[in-house]
Amino acid sequence: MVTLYVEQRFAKLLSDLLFDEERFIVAEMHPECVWGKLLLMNPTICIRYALTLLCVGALLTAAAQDEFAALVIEPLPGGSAVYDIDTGYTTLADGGVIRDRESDLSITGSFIRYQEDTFIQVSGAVADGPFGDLEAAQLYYDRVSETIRASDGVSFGTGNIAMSSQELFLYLSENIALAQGEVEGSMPPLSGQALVVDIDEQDALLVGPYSYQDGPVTLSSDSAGELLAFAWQQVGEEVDFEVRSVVPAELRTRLEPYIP
Amino acid sequence: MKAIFLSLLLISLGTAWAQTSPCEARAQGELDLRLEVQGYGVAFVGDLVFDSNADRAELFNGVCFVAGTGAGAEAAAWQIEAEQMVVENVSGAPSFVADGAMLTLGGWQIVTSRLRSDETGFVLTESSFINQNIQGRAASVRYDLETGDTLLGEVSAASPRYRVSGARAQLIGDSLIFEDALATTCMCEGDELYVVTAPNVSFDLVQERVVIRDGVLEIGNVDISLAEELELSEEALRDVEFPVVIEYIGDDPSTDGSREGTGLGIRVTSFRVAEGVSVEVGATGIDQAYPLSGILLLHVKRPNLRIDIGKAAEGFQANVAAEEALLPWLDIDFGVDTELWAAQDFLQQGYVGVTAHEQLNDLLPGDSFSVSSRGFLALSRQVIDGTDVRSPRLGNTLTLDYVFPDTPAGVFGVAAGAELIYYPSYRAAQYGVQFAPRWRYATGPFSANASYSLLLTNAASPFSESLDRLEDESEVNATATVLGPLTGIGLPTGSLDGQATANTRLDLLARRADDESLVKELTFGVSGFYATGTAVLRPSFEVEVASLLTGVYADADAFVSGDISFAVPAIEVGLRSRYDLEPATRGFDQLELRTSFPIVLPAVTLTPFIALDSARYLFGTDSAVIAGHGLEAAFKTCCGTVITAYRQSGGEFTTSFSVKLSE
Repeated sequence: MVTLYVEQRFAKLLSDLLFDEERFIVAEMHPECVWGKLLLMNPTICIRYALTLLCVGALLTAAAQDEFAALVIEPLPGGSAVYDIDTGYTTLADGGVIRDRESDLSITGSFIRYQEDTFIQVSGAVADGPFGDLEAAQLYYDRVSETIRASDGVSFGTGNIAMSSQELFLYLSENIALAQGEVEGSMPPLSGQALVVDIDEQDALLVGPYSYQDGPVTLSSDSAGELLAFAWQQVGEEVDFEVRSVVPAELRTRLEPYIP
Repeated sequence: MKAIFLSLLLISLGTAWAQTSPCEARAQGELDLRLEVQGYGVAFVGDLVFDSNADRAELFNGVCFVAGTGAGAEAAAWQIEAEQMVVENVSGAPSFVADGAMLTLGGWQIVTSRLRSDETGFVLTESSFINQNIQGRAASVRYDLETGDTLLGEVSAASPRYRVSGARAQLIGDSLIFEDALATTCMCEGDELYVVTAPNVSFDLVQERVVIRDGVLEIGNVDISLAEELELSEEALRDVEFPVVIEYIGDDPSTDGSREGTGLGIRVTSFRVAEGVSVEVGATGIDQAYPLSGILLLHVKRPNLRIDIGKAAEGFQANVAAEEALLPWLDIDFGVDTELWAAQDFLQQGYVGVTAHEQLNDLLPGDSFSVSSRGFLALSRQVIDGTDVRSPRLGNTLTLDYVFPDTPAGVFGVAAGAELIYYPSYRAAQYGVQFAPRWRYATGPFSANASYSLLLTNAASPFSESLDRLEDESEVNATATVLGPLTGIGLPTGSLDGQATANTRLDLLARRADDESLVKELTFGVSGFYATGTAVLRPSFEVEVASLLTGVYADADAFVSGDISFAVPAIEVGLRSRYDLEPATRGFDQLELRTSFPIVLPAVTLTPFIALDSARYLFGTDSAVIAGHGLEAAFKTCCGTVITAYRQSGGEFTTSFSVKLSE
């Protein structure tokens, strides 16, 4: 079994190489069954392929471990990475760690499938980055739109707020998060239908029906779509929250487009 | 200024909420922002800003703050409406401040310049309130969240017919209970023609009733004490007697008309000069046959002190009495008495006493028992028939009273007492033992009372009866009454009430003297009250037969009398006759025709009264005499129709002051 640590561009190079020299081999190559099949059909080709693969693998391994690589994907110890030449997807069935140096994003997952420059799909994801921390059963990183969609039970924390929701969208270029579906905040204690957070500006829009609690006081609205603006800032060791039912126009302009 | 401010506040709030008040808006589905505050309730608000750094929230664009969960079907104990409200200390123990707020408590709506909360409730300043027909103002209002008590300070309230103010008041249900209160029916600005002051006044807005306890009617500087509990109404004010007393006190024949304080007299009994201080002025012996005697008495009445000093009708008086509670069950009293006239045998004394008392209830279910004992030391002096009697008095009295639990046969009670006084100067001692059982029974229109009083004494006091001398007594009193509407008579119209009474008094000691009757009184009376429309017919009949039964002297002459009066509004005619049954004087001694009728003048309605007794004219040789006269004057004022009157009739002189509210 050959383990490939492949950066996308090298995987592409390998694919092109193999495709040019031996169309048949490339088309039939598959980690699950190819070896035995090739060995029976054409041992020579198989050996040549294996040697080629070993050479390229060694080359790619070195390249993948290049500390200047933009996207570094490491399987968990003992895990594997399988590149599907058909789809161009690479799958880390036993999970691994992804580091995106461009977005300063790190994702650990129990299952990872990705296509460089296109997407990263992670199960059992734990991610962190400039946006904060994120845990989700499912995570899909759309590298084209620079959007992360986390779903099936999401925990998200950024700055001084923390929450859970059914689904969360992270718009990495704007550094804005949209949590929706049973949004529950633990810091501050809140709940709502959706929450749009501007991570850089440290303000947010809570979408009703919602509730917001502070000590013995609980603010709530049963109206669907009702908006509650809140902002926070660190003051010494304390985090101060300011909550407004009247949404400032600038905030509305900035965040309302993200509300589903 | 405050009134103007509050009026403007009410107007502005009324204008602001003319369309929809915050809670009405809430009921219509607006104000769906909920702020639930533990320990208080739910505030429905238009908008909100909360700053955790300041720990402060501003609620605005309408606030409807209700107790409890705010569920629609729930009757909230309180409700606050305001255009905006500030919540301080949000994360700890929240407190609230709202300007121009309205607090609703049951049927009461209290509008205030500022509402704030404290540890236990809400405090309102400069408030006005309204409930049905009552509206008023209060310098402060305090609502206790735990007890629900609502206390108002410097409060005044008015309905269309009453005005009441007080140092303090409490809202209880739909009533305002005032303390240190002042009530009147005068609705005009400025000085009221009269007010009633009382330590406790209850203003019930549902019934529009004002009930006064221990009240004093003040007309100018004249004070008139009212009944212990009295409803400020036409009926109550109709019965008020003006504190002007015109009386005739006959002299003892032995003094030959020379005794002071006798003859025709006139007194103003309570002319207030300061709080708790009044002057009594007047004169007796106005008629020429008796010595003219002036009256000028100063009365001081404080909770633990009473002073009466000056020239009484009978002579010089200087009484000072003080008392103080030493313990809940122990009092001390002391004072001096100086009553320098014959009826009191020119009493002079100083005294000090200690009284122990205890009240025990439900020793048996429904019974009551009281016991008191007074020990005293006095230095007393009297001049009795020219003899100077003076001695210390050292004595003790014991009084017991027990009321048995109710029985089907009525309520039984018994009083018992003992007294022992020692007179060192005379080396004498007087004892007295008293036993007095009593019984009362009532069922439907029938009621009966019977009592017996036994007093046994050695009558050894050197002083007179006016001080402490006792006499043996063994007397029975019994009364039976049937009172109620008479039905089944088949009246074509109107209603008829009837009353029949039998009364007797037996002096069991009279057996000792041959010339005294065992039966002192034996009276039967029947009266009726027939009303139809505005006309009233009152017939009555009475007979006294004690002396006829025993043939010896009784306390009253035997007679039979009848009276009938007919009244329509403002006009009254009546006829009274009395027939003397005593053998020596048998015959009509009274045949009185009386009438009163109104004379309407622009500013006043005068109703003179005159009674003419023609018995002597018809059955004797004398001419008819005017047996009674009177005058009633009714003025329409902002206090209602004020009626003042005097009447001399049946040997009695009465004055009255009343207010008719319905006109």
